[in-house]
Amino acid sequence: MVMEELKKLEDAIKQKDRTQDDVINYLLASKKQMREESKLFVKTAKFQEIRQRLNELRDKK
Amino acid sequence: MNYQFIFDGGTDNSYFFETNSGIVYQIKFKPTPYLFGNDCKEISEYIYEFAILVEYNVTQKLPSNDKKIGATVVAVFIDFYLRIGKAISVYICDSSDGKEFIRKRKFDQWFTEFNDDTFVKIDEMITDKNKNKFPISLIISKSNPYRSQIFEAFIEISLKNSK
Repeated sequence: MVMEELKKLEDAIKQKDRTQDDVINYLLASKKQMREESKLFVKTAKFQEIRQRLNELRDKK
Repeated sequence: MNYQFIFDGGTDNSYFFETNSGIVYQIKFKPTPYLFGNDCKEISEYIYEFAILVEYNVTQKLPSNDKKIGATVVAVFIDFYLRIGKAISVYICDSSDGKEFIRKRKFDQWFTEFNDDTFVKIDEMITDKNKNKFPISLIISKSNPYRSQIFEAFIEISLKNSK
């Protein structure tokens, strides 16, 4: 849903007659999308790999 | 002194770091080539939305006033601009909880304190149709050859109010 909304807003800011409202709506929706992705990301194996790398970085100090 | 960080790259040029209190942050530079419209061909491929996200926070409490976070954010900027010298970052504070002006103050403070004269940041205010104001910042390297064009395009965003 957020992705579809974002696509529409993205199309709006590509137009020549775009307004501040179009820009702000796009940026806020993009931020929302990133937060959504973030919630899902912590559940992935990729995130576990990142944590592992961060732990190794800390242990090396 | 900053926290050590990882550059993981990917579509959004992601960086990660972990604080002493175990909070994991992700910093993104998401490519947004159309943000200044379609007339800015020379600079469009260098436009990124900057975002800082709390990925993991076991305490669920808001991060404390940890000075190393700001130093790390600026260190990440320096690293990213070493990779892409002509990068143009646009930052809008998260307003979902109404704390965008608090976040902006903190971000400004980080830049004042840790920017080693590498970057120039300009601030603007965008107004939506309900007259709500949103702070927005642009950050480029001082040596960016397109700086005049970039500033003009950025300011242009806040000039157009209606169709």
